[in-house]
Amino acid sequence: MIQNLVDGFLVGSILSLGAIGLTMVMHVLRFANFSQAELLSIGAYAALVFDGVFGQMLPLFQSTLEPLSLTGALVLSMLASMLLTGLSAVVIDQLVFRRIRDSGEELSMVFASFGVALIIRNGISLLFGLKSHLYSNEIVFAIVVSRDPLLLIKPDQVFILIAALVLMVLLHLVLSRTTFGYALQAVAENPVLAQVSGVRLSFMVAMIWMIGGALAATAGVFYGLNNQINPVMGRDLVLPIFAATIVGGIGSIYGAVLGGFIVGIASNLALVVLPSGYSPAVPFLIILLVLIFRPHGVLGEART
Amino acid sequence: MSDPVLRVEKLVAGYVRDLPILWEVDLKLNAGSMTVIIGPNGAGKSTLIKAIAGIVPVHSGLIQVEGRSLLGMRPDQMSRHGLAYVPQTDNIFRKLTIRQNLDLVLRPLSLRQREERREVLLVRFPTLREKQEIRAGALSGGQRQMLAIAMALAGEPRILLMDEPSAGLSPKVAQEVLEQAHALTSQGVSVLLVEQNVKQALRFADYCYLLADGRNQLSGPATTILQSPLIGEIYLGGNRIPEVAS
Repeated sequence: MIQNLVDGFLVGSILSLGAIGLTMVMHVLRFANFSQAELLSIGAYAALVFDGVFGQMLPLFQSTLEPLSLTGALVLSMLASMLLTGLSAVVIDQLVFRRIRDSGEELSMVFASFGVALIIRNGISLLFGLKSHLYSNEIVFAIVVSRDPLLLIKPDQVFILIAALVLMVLLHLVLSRTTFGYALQAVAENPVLAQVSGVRLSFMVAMIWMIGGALAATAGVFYGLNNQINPVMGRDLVLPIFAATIVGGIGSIYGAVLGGFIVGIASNLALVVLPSGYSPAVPFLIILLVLIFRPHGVLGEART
Repeated sequence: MSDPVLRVEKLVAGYVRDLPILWEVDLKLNAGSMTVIIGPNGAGKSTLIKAIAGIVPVHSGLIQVEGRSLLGMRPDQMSRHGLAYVPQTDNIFRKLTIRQNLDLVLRPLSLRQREERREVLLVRFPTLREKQEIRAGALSGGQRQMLAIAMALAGEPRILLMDEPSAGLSPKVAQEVLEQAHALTSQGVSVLLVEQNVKQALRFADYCYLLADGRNQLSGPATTILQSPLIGEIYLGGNRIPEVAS
């Protein structure tokens, strides 16, 4: 059970990073963006490409950072991927969602997001093929933390958890200590008041896509480090990320973090009592339970 | 008589294209004065003030501040033209602290200037000082309204637009808020407010516009309007008022 709990924390940290962007977009732009999880795929594959490029250009960065399986080149690649994925999210918004938003058809944005997801997923399949990819072919053995109860942790998993937590703390500091963070929170809470308070909405919307895309990229890379990357990883992650967003409360960034951990931990703990085939149903069960007792999610509030 | 700081002429505006709420509305706001817009529910009072603030689309007409047109400007650009707007409800960011609310509107300034300006505002609104680190959502109705006014004043506006500042407040607190708004006129701020609390607002205001069905119905000095039998007719359920020359 302790193993499931630790695995749940790990999965939860990845879901949280993916859910932060989704909750901001859903709240500010008022649509369920089913293409958000595909940003994880863009991030994961972009890092794969950058890893190859940086590995060739910077031989010194090719060696692994013991005891982890990742290389210095992959760390650099992740940073480049964050930038590229964030920009991709902004471009997708400008090309697709903004045009529909301007025509005032909010429901059409949901359908458009399905279309965008399909285009990204199939575009990646076309470019990289349907087979899975690994960032590293090195075999990294898990560390036995405890034998009774058995607890195994890979160094990469420790890195993922720490890096995800560091990113969340950084986001918290930006939100709570900077005027840019106040503006982000203001736009999330009341976009009209934010505008009359001098906040340029179009710039903040671009920033929301940028931050959401960058965090999704890290989630995609972390997912790839822990598993493998494949063109349908976005499809596999979209429902748990939605569950995390809804459970945490749409519009609450801290709720998205909490929701990610709740869904990740609950899904993994469910494996203790349920056959693994039932695992995908667990996020929905959590959504049901939370919505019965907290209709606006754990940290969400009724929209004014 | 000097030119008005705010001039609205033949304004046609509404949320949806081809479905105006305001029909050729005219309004003038003189420097350092307080003007109140009154009218029955659905008259278009809030729409008018929102159209001036850049929130409601203008279909045609003219809005000028000190001779410069505001048409086509985004709400976030209004402060650069000396205009600030206090919405009726949800006029503070509940999840931010008082200090964060003020810093948000002061963020174009340097850190030092921001602290100085914040200090000036806290001197003017001392009840906010001791609660600086408290989330704004925890404030009482009157304190929220004070914070909303403080946020609007942070940009040192020449024109303050207020949408029903006394809504939901006790008569005593409503009186205090209107007194605060009126006190600003002596500091050179021109105040345009929408009010349902007609008699109280007219006692503070210099000038009054009466709207009904999205059109100008009556305008004149507040003291004159206060004594007009039409006011009672409108607010005590009389017939639709006739066209009256202003």
